[in-house]
Amino acid sequence: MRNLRSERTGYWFILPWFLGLLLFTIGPMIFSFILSFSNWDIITGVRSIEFVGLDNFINIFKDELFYQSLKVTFIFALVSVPLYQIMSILIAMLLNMRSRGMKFYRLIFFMPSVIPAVAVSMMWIMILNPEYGILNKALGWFGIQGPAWLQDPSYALGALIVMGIWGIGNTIIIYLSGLQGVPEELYEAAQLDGAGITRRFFNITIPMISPTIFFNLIMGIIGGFQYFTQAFVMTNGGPLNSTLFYNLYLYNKAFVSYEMGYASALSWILFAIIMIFTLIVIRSSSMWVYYNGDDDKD
Amino acid sequence: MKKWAILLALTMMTTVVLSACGTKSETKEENGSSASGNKEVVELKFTAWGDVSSNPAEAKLAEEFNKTHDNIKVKFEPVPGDGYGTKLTTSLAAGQAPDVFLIGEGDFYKYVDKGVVEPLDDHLAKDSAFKTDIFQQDLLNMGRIHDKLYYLPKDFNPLSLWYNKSMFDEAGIPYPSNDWTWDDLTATAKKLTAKDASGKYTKFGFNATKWEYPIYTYLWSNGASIANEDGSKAEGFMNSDKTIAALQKYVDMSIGADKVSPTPQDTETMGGDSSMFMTNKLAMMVTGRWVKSDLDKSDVKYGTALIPKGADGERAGIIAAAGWAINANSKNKEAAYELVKFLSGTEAQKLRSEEGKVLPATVAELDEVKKTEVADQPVIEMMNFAKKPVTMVSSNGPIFVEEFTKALEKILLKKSTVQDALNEAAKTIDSKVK
Repeated sequence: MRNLRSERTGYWFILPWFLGLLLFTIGPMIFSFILSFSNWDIITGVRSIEFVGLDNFINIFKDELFYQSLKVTFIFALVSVPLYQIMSILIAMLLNMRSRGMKFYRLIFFMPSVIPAVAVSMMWIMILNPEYGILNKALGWFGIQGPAWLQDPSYALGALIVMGIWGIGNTIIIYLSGLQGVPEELYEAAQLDGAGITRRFFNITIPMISPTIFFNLIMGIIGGFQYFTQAFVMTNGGPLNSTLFYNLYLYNKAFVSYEMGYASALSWILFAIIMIFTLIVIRSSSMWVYYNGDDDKD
Repeated sequence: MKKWAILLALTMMTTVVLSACGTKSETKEENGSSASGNKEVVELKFTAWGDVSSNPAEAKLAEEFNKTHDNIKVKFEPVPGDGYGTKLTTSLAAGQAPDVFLIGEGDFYKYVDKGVVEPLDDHLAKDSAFKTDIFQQDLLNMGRIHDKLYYLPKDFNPLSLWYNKSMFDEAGIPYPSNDWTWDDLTATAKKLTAKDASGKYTKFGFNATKWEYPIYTYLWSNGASIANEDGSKAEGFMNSDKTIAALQKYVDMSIGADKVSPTPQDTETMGGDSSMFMTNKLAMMVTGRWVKSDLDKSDVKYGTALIPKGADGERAGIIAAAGWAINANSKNKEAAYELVKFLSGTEAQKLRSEEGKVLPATVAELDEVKKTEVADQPVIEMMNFAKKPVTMVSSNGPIFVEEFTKALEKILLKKSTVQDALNEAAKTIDSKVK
């Protein structure tokens, strides 16, 4: 009896959050799932929703731009996720060293993550400007004629990937905290046994921070597949659809051509893709993620 | 089992919440209609793109309207230009759209097709005091779709040729004349284009933009077009020999050996055509009168001329315009009609014209402007050559524009020849047009 009452109190506490979830997440999700089997131009209101069965999904798999956007997104995810993780770990290790003014360096590397993505994008548009941009000016000092980064279909996607390195502060911070949780005595013991720096990195650091890698990898994959803001602001999918990210295509379908049903179907396909990749990472985690507390299990 | 129970509960709750919302709005609607019957004060909202500071006339007109109409209270709610279409569409979907809204000529068909715009004919027939013959008839007829009038003109902007006087003076070349053909323009532009020692272009004679309106005028004056008369067919028009030849000549201005124009990328990296124009890096461009307010902020000296003729002496222009429309779902259409009439009426036209940025859509007020503004003569004259773009003759318009833009991008990035790109575009369009 007492147990039930305290349970009820608990439910009251989560009620505001729960209502929010229901109204702003679960509700719209159910609505978009229903919409994905319909045609709806949104302008004329809910009355004009017209159910078409699986037509949207069938058409999507015949849609050239769908494949183009998948290709762009997969290339981005495949290159950027490992690249950002490796860069983050390396920078986090540097920031984990004991040295004077370390707080200042940590601040510098984290700062870009505080700036809103749109502001960052505007700044990078200027940096990447082929005529007046600082990047091509700098390349010019070495006699290199820099390309038109965002206007050339063969460079635009690469430019966005490289640009993203600038904003990995969040990942760095998480790795940094992971690194600080690695007990010092492990390194000392390994050093006494004659392990070199590489050996220590791969046999102590990596396994010890593997839960952090696991977390960052999942977040990175989700973020990579949902990449939107920078492409929307900087290239809007161009030139020649070379930066037509999946989410951008979805947005265009929904809010430029007002094909809500089609866009909903696209979003559920993206949901499935992200789900599959996340599941792969989670399933494989037992093979490479090491949890300290699990010792007694083995 | 438990999970399923929770999920079920969630679904049911959402349904309850959603259906509750539904009934609520319905009762509201009923209240609304009874209120208008009771002659109480009716509240109206109207919207336009831009902000209050770029719509000073609209804000003033709203005040004026409220003073003269005791039983109607209007509120002006402008929306920033970038998000205007999205905002309007989503608010229409939610049933929260303003009673009166402004639409650009390129979207006239789209909104009528969706059935969200109220036809004005019945209202006009009942209202003997208001005559639509105060408007320029060509302009008024732009708002006539499927034999019904949906929009009353707010203002209009014929495109014309704008030239930078300082650059012509410096090169010692006479200003563009109204007898020019496009070939004269290209030849003159060549003289005004300059490179620096390293071979980089520093000045351009003309901007052969990727914006489709100036391209249409170029194609039309060369007897070519991207669509047939009623916008139902692309094959044989988009990819006709004439269109291919004309577009080839057009893009050669920016990507050919004799470059006289920046490519769209050049323009983007150099800050846009009007800022290039203001900094004496661009000598000529085809555009609308809205650039005037920007140009007047700089000290560039400029003039306007007619858009050049084609080789056969044919001249073509195009009008950008905006019109006021009544929301078909407005609860107070009578009051909304009063507002639309007022916003397009003589007083409003006068007020906007005094602000100096736009040309009045009414005959009498335009005559007034013609008398005083000699510099604007070519701009006004261009309206005699205006033709309708495909978006103004058919609801298929956006399909044509999308594919044409795509083809043009491929051509300008040298990923395809003019012929291949236009052939492909024609094929795609005809497969999409129903």
